[in-house]
Amino acid sequence: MRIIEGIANPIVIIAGWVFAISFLWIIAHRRSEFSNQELSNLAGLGAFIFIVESIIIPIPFHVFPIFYSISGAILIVTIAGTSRGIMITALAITLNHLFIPGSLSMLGTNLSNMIISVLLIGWLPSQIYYNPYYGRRIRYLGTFLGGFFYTIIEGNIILLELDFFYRSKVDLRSVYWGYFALLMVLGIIEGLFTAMAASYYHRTFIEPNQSFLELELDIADEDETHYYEIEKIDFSMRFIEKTKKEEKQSRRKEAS
Amino acid sequence: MSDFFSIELGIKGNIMIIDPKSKLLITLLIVLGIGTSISYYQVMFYAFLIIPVIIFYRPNMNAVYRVLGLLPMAIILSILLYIFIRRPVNVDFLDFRETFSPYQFILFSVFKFMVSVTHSSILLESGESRTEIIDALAALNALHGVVTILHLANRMITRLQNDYNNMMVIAVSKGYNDLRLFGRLYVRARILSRILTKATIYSDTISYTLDARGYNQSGFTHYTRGWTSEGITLLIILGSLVLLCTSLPFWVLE
Repeated sequence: MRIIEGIANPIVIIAGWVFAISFLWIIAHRRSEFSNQELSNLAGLGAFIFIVESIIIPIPFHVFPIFYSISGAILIVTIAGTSRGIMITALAITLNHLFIPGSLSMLGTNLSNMIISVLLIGWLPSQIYYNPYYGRRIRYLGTFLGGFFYTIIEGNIILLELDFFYRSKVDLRSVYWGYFALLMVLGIIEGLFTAMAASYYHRTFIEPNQSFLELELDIADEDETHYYEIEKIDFSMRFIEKTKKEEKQSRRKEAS
Repeated sequence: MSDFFSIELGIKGNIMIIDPKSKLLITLLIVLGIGTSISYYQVMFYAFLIIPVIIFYRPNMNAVYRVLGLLPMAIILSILLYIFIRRPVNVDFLDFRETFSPYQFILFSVFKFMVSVTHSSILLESGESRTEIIDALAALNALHGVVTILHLANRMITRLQNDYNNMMVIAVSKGYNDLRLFGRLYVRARILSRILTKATIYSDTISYTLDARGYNQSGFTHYTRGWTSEGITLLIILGSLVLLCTSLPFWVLE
């Protein structure tokens, strides 16, 4: 979802450019070098978002039209992490604004809208996505809700930017519920797409690597009179810390 | 390869006087100026600025087709806007306020949109490819750390678009056209999710080749064309004009 050229207030444009450039500068200078694997993976994700966002539907609204396209921002944030996701989405949006004429001057504002809405809701799907103890359905639900709320938050920010700064004397309540209904539909589309693509990615790339969690060890009894019993051992860090603490305590007892 | 050499070979038809960096900066300045303008005469100034820009940039005819392609969309949108806007609109910029009637506001917005689109399409069709524009971004030191990602992404975009087209052909052969709206959306979403996995598979192979060729970030420099004196002079002149035009309302509108 993006605002097109020739609409917004000059102050919105300038503030958006300043915010977006300063935020991205901070992110880009946190870490200047990537490994080859990271470089190519991030580039692949960026190219994917470019293609997804280049399918554009123009939407008219009471102040001025908005371009709507599926934004894979939440999808990339869940896969690649928050800061990298924001960086890659920002790069894809920059390429999109440069090579598809129609919204170049609003690049800063659109970037800052994306950044704010990702910061507000991006934590939800990324918490759920990589947790191996959650099932497939919760993963679907988390990514769907992420995409859905992302669209609604971004739409409301756009509404504020367009309407508040223009003071266009239009009664906001009469227009808002229609706009909100539109946002709901768009959010459902975005959420469904995010959930589908994220779960497909999970099945093909992440699940095969998580098989070590189902590792089962055979532990024999000390008497060797019984049959072998199978115990599931949790290999998480908490379990290891617990065992270390117990060992320490037992040593202390022995020493005392 | 320099421009003079390519002209001798017959590859390129014209000499690029202005380097891509200053082209990009000039267009960004102009487009931002159009965005911050709040009255007709300011946008009119940028509309007249199209003529010198065409003379110096030497764009292809494709720029005209790009603009003409967006024109019917702008007309349809303005008709739709007419339904929604009924009352006068106030446009604020710091202390200055100008009131537009609905017709004026719609015409003004569409005019701004078309002028700005013309400028950006002239930049795109001025003999510079995508890679040169990305190199210009890199040379401005704006995106120095991530410029390799941009280059790789730029190359992968064409591959992925090709894959998307092939998958759509297969979908059509399996009865895509018989589906209704939501069925079509579902098929498209499935195809896009497959393209995500394609992108990761491609990126794996690319990372192997990068390793095999001994690539690391420090040992690779991007080709960039240096600043030309013509470009810098044009940048200074047009930049000062744009600044003058954006600061005009502070003197004139009282």
